[in-house]
Amino acid sequence: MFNSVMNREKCIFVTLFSYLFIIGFVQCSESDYDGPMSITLYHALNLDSEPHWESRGHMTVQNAASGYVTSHQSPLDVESTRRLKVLSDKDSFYRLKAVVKTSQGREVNFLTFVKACALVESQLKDYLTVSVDHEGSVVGVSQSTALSSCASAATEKLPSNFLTTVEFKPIEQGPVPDTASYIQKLEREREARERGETKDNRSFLAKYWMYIIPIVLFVVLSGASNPEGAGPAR
Amino acid sequence: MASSGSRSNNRRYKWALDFNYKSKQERSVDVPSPPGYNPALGQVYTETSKESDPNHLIIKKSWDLALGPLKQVSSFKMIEGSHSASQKFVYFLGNILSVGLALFKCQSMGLLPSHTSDWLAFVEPQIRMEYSGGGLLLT
Amino acid sequence: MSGHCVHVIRVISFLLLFKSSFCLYEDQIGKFDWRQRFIGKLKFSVLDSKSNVKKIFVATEENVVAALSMKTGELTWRQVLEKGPQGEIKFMHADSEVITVSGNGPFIVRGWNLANGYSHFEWNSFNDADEPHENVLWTYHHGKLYKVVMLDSQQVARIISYNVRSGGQLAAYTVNIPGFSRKCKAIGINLVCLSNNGELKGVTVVNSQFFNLDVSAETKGANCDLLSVDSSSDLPVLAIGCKQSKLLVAIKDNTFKALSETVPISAGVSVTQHVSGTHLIVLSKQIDGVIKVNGKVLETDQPVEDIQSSFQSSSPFSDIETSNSLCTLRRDRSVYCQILLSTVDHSIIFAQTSSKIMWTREEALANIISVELVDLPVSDIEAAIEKEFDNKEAPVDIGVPSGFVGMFLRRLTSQLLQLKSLLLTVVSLGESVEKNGLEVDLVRDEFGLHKLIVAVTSVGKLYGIDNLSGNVVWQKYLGEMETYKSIDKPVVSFYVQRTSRHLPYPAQCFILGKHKASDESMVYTFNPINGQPIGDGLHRLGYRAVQSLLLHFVDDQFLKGVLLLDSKGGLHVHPESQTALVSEHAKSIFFFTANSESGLLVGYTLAHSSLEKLVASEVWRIQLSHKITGLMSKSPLERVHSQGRVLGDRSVLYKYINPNLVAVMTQAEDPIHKNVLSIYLIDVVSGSIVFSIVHKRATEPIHLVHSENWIVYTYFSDKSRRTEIGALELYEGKTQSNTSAFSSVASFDSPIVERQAFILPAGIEAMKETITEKGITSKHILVGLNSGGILEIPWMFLDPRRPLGDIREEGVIPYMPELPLPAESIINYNQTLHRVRAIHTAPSGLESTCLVFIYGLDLFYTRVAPSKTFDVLKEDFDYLLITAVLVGLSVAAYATKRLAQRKALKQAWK
Repeated sequence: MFNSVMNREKCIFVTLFSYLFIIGFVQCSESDYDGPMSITLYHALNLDSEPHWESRGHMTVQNAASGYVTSHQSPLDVESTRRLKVLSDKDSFYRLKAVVKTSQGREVNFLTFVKACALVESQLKDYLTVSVDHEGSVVGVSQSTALSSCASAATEKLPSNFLTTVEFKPIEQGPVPDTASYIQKLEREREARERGETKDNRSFLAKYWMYIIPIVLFVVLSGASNPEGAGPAR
Repeated sequence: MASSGSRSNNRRYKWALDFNYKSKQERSVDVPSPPGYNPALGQVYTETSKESDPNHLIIKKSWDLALGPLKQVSSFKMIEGSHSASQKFVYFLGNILSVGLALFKCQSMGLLPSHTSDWLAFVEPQIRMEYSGGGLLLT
Repeated sequence: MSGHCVHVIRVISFLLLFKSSFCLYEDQIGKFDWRQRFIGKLKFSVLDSKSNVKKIFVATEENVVAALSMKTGELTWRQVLEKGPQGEIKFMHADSEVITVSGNGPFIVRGWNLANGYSHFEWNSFNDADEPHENVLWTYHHGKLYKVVMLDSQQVARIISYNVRSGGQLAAYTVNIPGFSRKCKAIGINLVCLSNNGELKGVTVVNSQFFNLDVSAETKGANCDLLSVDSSSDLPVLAIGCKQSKLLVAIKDNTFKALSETVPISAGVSVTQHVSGTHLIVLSKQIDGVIKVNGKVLETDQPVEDIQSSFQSSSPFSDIETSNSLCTLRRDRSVYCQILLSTVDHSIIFAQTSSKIMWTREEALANIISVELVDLPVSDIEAAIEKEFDNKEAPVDIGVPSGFVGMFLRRLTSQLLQLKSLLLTVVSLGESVEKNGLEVDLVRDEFGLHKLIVAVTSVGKLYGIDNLSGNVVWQKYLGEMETYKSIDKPVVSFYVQRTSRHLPYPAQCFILGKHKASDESMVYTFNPINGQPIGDGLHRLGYRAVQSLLLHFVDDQFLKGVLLLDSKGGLHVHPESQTALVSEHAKSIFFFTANSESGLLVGYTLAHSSLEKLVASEVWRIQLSHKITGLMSKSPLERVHSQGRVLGDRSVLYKYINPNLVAVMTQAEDPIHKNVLSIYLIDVVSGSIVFSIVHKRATEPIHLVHSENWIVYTYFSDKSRRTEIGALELYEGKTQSNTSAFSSVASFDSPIVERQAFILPAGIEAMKETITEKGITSKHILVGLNSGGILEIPWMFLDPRRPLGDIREEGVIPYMPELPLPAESIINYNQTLHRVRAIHTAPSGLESTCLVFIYGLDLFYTRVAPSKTFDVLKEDFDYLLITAVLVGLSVAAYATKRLAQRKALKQAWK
């Protein structure tokens, strides 16, 4: 029933310390998503309409099909942390730019955002969902946070590193009319009916003896008791 | 009310005992009948009463049983006397028990709206927080 | 208990669904529905003067061949040819039968019966490999059809003559035409070309006789075109159209004969037979909305006073594009002409000189691109009552006494009016049948079933149509405005800014289009009830808007603003006075644009706006790798009553109802899988791809419906060679993450997606879901089939949770791959609808009833009740019986009371 959750490729990597490479592993994969691909992340911590992009990190998807992703994200310095908190206080958006460079060298920009307060309250724990189409090209990168709503609880201390989980979301195969199993079902039903029919070839008495006997007994018994009851009445 | 019902029952029972006397009277035929007494009438009467009396009783009893709970409704106030507190408690307990039993039966039959699905019709739609619009570029 | 009630109702409705159909009774035909048939913009016309029942044979831009009754303008017969260039009509001729040449490659020659339009013959003419498809001319003469292929590489015209009935080739030869510039016309037996240096060359196709005329004095080196002139005589006439004027040239005895004076370019010209071998030129011209007709004799230049006349109607006429006329001599030797005119707003007008306009056909309605159903205003009486309550804010009228005396008087008058109208309705109850034919007042009814259909057509003409009768109430041609284009389809942004419910203020609609002459956008704000402009009316914006959005809140005048994004990224609100108001709501407004060519989707927030200036700043960006061929968001009117679905174990599966979810379709040519159809469900606030699905080897026609928590789409499966329907359903799960509010920014769990596919044994032209006011009524899907029927499929049949095995939950039907096509589910019964473009659904005031308007070449209006009309009494409800019973009972009660009283009295005296 919930197979949609199951067949999602997941590729999780975590950056606990800066300049540390952690290798994640992609579980089940069926997409023809191959070749090295790099994703460079930039974020904007300013309040203005025009984003001011600053580098946040870089990750390389060695081969999504085989499942190696390496990453490093620079830690947030004090100034950035302060600005992130300002964003959070002003209930503004934390904007993220992901530049995906494919193995053919084509660069595609993706933009996404979360509420800054949600990111702060999640202690910089976030998710990046990379949507992939049937040819294996990235069509969208979207960010979400561990805690989705802002309880407006003041957080004093923020970790200096992002804790990012990357999730690859391939396009799913469309359904096709399930004629085969329907025909099978009909076949089964037909067989069941046929089996039922062969059994039913017994005689009427053989089939319904369990109903007939009690009725007969009842009639006979009531008939036997009747003369006795009628006697004194006469 | 309940007490008056039982009293009348007793009286009837006494009256039923009278029936034996009647058969005694039948034996001593030599005694003349009092004026206005028709033995034939009595005979018929005894005949019918002899046949219907147990049935009648059963029906009566059944009716009492059936009307029991209805009669109980007003009897709570009638509990008086020195033990009334404990009696009231017992009465209350009994009622709770019967209500509980009823609830249990309803529950086992699935008649109680105890599932979230039973209240689904009253779930308000979610309020929309963001509004969006737009579409394909107009060229 | 209530839960079980719901279950029981569900089971019953489920059973009902199987038992009953949605069909109409025979006596209900035409009661709730109407159909109007159209032909499209006029291309060729022939006025028939020979038949007993006079007809006009026409061929149109919509690839329709038809005969119109000269008397009424109604269709005598109509034949709808193939869609698009395959059916494009290239040539029409009518004498003993109507002959058409259509197509664009192999040309199809067809002959139609004059009286009934039955097909007499049909044959194909194939082009040779070296022959271009576009420069082929056709002409007909004495049973022979001539095909003239212009081979511009060799400056040669290849002429092939056919037997028109059999298609047998009779002759083929080439004619050298040096210096021709593709500006050629085939007229009668002549091929006429206009060279760049202003020389007119003619050649007869029968015997290749050449003749010339120097028209360089008239053309003066300007870029001129050859125009054909409709002629109901044997004399071939054509026109050389330049910027301002056109010069008429007749061909007589293999020579050109130019007319002495030119006629204005916007005048309609036609030629007709006159007395003793002469010919009449009939000129018609629109001046200030009035059509002026005059004529003169071609040979003598003598004006004909008889036919001088002018025509006008309630709505002004627009410029004339083509005209055709037929003149007759009366006994008193006076001339009268019948003129068929086609105007730039696609109307067809038929008039008789020195008389009046016989009829008009609004052929723009064959090309409706956007529709809204607008509530009608309340009646005057109710308006008076509303006014009473509204008095507080409105300044007190001078002359009307204020204070409680005035209020009392006003109340009295309004109630007297009410009483009067009540009495009138009671009186007229018996004669309502007779009244039916008359014009009904445009007043809101009790159940909100009477509305006004406001339609925008591709030519820029607006119509207000009464939904009950189908009559055009008003029309307005926006000459300066043209439509936008989006995925090769004409579109406009069309919104209802204010409904009729806010009484002192009239309803207001908004149309965003393009200015014809410049790059700027144009807006027309108008009252949808009468089409009259409100505020600035039709005006230019000074920038080019690329996308628009109707805001969700109203200002103090109950007007919803429209946000406009211009091509430079600037943001505007219309009306401008709402800027401050919008910036208050800015945090909750998101906006997106999609580029169909590049597949780029960009999301904007208004959060950075200030009180003075609105700013759209980019917050998300999705780059689909293929061309976007469709985009479907949910109807903003939609309400979902049930928030979840009851499972077999009585738990609830909550629906994922995301109002910001948009379904985007892309189609890709793939070398291995052929055509790949991808559907992305994108949250346009957060910019996340909620779900995506791919179908390989799926081709056009593709249609998609997006409503509540489900998406239904159809495609043609190349693999199985059949139409398939895919259904997706989104669920949040067994719990709701937030029971009170839905925020796209805050939600992060992707929904559970159920999916299933079905087979529909029919071709599909359009698809739409029904919509009702409160969303309690179950949803049906209306499918326009290419056979001309509109099929109503209960959504239950397309439920992706239909189980293959045992029934797991209440209200689901076991899975069957093929959907049934019962004839009772065709809501337009035998009223075939050609080329359905779209289906528009709108809620009525009744929860059970959904109003349906189907447009395409034909218009069809009806109403459907997906869960039956549970909130209205049956049509055949016996009011008389129930009244009689009630009255009888009351009388009996009263009588017995009196009798009992009398008896009691008597008893007391005893």
